[in-house]
Amino acid sequence: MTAVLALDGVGRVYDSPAGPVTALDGVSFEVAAGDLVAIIGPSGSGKSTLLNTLGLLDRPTAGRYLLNGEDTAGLPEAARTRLRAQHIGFVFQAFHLVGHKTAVANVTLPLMYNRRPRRERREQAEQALIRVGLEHRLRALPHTMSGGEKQRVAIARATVHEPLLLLCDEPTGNLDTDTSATVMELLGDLARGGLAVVVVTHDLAVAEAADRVLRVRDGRLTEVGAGRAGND
Amino acid sequence: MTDRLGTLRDVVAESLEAIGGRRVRSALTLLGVAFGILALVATVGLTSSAAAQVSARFDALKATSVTIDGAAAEEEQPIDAATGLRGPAIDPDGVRRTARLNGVASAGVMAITKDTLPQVSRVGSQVPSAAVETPVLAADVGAVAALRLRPLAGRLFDQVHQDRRYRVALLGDVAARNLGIDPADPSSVDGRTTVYIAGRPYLLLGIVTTPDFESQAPLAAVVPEWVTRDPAAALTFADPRVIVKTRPGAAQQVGVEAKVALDPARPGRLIAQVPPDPRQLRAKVETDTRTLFLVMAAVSLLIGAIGIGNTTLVAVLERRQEIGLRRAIGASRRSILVQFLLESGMLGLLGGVVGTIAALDLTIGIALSKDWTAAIPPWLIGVGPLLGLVVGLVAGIYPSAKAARMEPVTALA
Ligand SMILES: Nc1ncnc2c1ncn2[C@@H]1O[C@H](COP(=O)(O)OP(=O)(O)OP(=O)(O)O)[C@@H](O)[C@H]1O
Ligand SMILES: [Mg+2]
Repeated sequence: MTAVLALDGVGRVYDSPAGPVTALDGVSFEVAAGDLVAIIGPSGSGKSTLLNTLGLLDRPTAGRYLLNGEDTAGLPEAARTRLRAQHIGFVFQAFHLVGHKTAVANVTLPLMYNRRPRRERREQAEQALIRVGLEHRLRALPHTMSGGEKQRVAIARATVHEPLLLLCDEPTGNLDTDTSATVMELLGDLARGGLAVVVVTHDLAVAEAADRVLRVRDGRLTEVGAGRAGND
Repeated sequence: MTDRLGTLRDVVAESLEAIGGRRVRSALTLLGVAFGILALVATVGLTSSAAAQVSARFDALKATSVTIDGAAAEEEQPIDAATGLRGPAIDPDGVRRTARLNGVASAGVMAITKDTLPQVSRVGSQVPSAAVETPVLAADVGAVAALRLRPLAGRLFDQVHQDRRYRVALLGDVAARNLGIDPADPSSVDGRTTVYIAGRPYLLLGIVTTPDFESQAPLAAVVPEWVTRDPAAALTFADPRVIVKTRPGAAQQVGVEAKVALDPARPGRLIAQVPPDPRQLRAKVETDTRTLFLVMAAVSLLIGAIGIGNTTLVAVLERRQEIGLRRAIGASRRSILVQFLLESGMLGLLGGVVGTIAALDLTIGIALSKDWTAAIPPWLIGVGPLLGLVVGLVAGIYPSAKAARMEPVTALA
């Protein structure tokens, strides 16, 4: 079984007024379908940079990044945009729901950018919301929802188009402990359903729910630990 | 192709949803453009209506009236022994040539008494009436037609009255009323009534009216032209003039040609009073009033455009994260550009529609209150919304380009 993603010696150097900043340095690892991987590390260690690289929002300055077996290095912007639309889902700490859209309308967005037929979109979006337990909030606007509800809408939106890879940057950063646990359960379910899930987190309890834990320090993967899989 | 259309439909829907999701702000924003379009469309609509009104009234009468002065000989004509009348001061051949010009409906000679007004009175009636000071207007048959005299009672005089020098008179309706004669009563002209003008008796032929108030005919006693040449009439007339009624649109041309027809040797000494060209008049009315208002409309449109541009820019900055999110989940730069461009374009279009509707209401309302027919050029109804759309699109170019340039990572931060 081929890995959903494979990094080989990936580096990222930012140009800044104070000189070059190395955010990633020689990062190599693979994530397979069904994996739930946690990335932890101190602030400024390069977690977000790594996640943006995985999400094709940022280009590495060294190394190779293969998504679904395809080398992404030479791809033009339009092709990367299309790959994002098809294969990747994003969940953010700040939810990033579109304020004037209902839950269902938010969830239909990836289907629209994937040019799925209009008549299918609503139905599929409702199904995705039902899967995250929000059947009673289909028409709710974001400002009427709790943090946990918002994040579940965001997870429904990130998975409605059946991507290969789900990328979450601090998904529980704005949630209380109980709600965090619910969200992590949801992510675990999605991984068991065959999705490759990568979660950046500060929260060790969250990391423990993962199959694997990658520790980042100064842009390097310093340790590859076992999370849930190791505890089983 | 259907794919393209489907995508366009999606982007339009996204834009409408965004506009609808911020109703109050959208309404306030589109108000700016609406006022600009309102001012513009109402200005054009009102000036068109006003101009149409001017030319409508104008065409009816003045546009077909030409008067030529200076055709009368300066020295007094000798008295003809056979008739006892002076010779005509204006060459009758010249008048005949004028009447035959292309575009002339009728032409003739008229003169009006000058200095003191003659006494006109009525006898042969049971009701005694005092003498009334009344202008006397002398006209030949062509002039009677050119003056558009119309009998309310009795009849007009004709060539026989002129040629045989019958002492007959018509009374303008106002003059008749002053003399105690009811113009509406047909029996007031019974063929036996005599009016005395400067002490001489004239048989009353009819009571007349005319739409041409400047001719003074409604106020006057009207006598055949030969009376001006009769020393016994005891009336002092001003120099006779030639009066012409033209066919519509011919007045300017006739004004030029009639001078030559009347005095081929020295047409330059004649003065033709022609009506201003109705097209020029209309254009003048339109431009005079329009320029100012169009400048104001343009200024308010500009302010509206700045408003839309500003709102779109603020929206782009406020919705930075939404833009980043959309880009992350697969929106192309172009789709972001089109979405925001459409939002500002549609705000402009809506402003244009609102402004046009308000302007049409205003124009029709004002026209009604002034008893005009609202003359709104049909193209105007399309131009308002279209212009709003263009203003919105232009105003949206910069903010939309800014939105499309955003990097998802920085936008999401
Ligand atoms: N656009 C940029 N330009 C220059 N330097 C940058 C840029 N983005 C990140 N960096 C630097 O790269 C390093 C890694 O940043 P990154 O945001 O990936 O850290 P992080 O692990 O996500 O931190 P945190 O836990 O605070 O979110 C930091 O030193 C940061 O200052
Ligand atoms: Mg980070």
